[in-house]
Amino acid sequence: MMILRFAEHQANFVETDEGRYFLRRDDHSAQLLPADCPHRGGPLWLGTLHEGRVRCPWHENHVSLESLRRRGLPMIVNRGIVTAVAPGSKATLRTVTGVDGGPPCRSNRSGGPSCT
Amino acid sequence: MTMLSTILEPSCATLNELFGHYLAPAFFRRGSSWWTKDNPFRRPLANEAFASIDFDLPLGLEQLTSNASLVANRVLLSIYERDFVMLPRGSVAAIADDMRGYYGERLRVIGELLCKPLERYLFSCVERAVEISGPWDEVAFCAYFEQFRDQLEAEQNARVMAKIVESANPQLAARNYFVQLAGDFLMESSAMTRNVIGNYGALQSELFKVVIDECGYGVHPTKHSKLFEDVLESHGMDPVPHAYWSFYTPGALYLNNYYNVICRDHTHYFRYLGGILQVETSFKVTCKQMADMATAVFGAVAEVRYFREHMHIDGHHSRMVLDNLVRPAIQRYGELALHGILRGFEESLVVADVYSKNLLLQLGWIDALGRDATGGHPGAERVALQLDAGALYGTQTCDRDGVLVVDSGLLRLVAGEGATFELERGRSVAIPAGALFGIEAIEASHARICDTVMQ
Repeated sequence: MMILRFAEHQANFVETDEGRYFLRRDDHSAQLLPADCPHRGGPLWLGTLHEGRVRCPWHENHVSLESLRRRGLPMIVNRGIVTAVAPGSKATLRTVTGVDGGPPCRSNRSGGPSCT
Repeated sequence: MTMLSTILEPSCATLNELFGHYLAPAFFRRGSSWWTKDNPFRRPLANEAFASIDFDLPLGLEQLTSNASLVANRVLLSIYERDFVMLPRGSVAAIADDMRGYYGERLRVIGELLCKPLERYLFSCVERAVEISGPWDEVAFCAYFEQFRDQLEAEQNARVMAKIVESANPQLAARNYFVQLAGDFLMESSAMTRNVIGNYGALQSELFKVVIDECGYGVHPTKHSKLFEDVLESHGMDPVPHAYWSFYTPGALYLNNYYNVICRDHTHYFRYLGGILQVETSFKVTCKQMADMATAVFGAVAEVRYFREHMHIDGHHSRMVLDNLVRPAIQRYGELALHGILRGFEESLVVADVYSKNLLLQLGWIDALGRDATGGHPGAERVALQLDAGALYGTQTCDRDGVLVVDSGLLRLVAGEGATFELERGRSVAIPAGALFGIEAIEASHARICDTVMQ
């Protein structure tokens, strides 16, 4: 177990020796969510969120945001600084973008296809 | 609108009307001196620069040194301290009217109506600054806390200590630092004792053990607030609570108020546990820095028992709060307790940062006065002052950088205990935004406070 500290504007993706997580921000809070789809490991940060479910871009499976939150990392943001408790002993931080080049796992209010 | 909603959800205009009533008693107005002698109830609240509070627009973290923040914090602390017993060292009869007024029904009712709106006005920004998410549990919390404890260096407090030691007049800076500590330390543990009454099982008894230490086991010379009185008296300073009320910075009042916010409203009990864990853990380190500063500034004879007591006992308190309060609370009450504890821990760091930054600003301002401060290029006039000899103006802060210009007479600018600077006709001095100051007319004077023009 290790403690990660980084500025929210400097990274939104955490890769540890025991898992990968992406930072998703909504109107209420930010969360570090599992990056890999539980089905075949598809990139959920490239998915879209609709009605509380993330649609994986690989097989179009839907994963509930609530289940992702339960498997995410315990985290605090204090004035833009993220402190997270992560499994493993090594971590790298980087920045990723969502499918449209914006923030990871954007909301798709129409519910229609989000990628081609 | 029903009568009940009028009372429970008053408009901004109604709140300002109530605020005006709260400010009205004579013991809340400035007297003929900056200093209050042996009367903890006499505490100037408003100042000439204060107009009103915009209750619909809570302050941001960057606005907490504003004049509205100063006045709002003074009022809120006065509302809270009505819960505490305060008596003068000398005659009660001499201040009986003030005492009756302060503890009286009128201020109690008005204060209760103002309390929550003032808390929202001042502390919404702290709540917004902290977000918590994810599946926290006791193991994750302990890992998070242990990393905080093991890497704790209290850098911001170290900067304050360095500022004092390196200032033009370190003893003056140190005394003014003690002024800022006095509001909290002379009332030490009063806010938290609200949490040892009631009935909530073993947690209550564990907290009581901490309070017993704070109170020196009933042996008065070892009570923590008495130890701080000794610090003040060793430097010829007044040990009566709020003798230096007029010179508390908004940041010092804010820190004091935060612990009242989380202790007075028992829905914040778990937040309080997080706050006290952070404070007890940090204070062991910061008190070492304070003791070192006092010794560096005043020599080996410096009265440092207050600081040394905390260097010792807060090591125990940190462990006791973690093992006997925080972890049992998480085990028993789960996520609700844990989220409150995390929030209190992080919020108390935000508030400590507000406090330290304000201290650095004020100590820098006092240092600048001590180095024969002048300057500032006056622009548009904000306020014209016509002061009779002996008249006082302030204390207050400017929301923007300003320049005080003396057009006639002789003024004394006062920034704290012994921190004064005289200005005669034709002189001007720059006043940084957020710096606390008052003005005293040595002779009948005309002066202006102007905007600063950037050159």
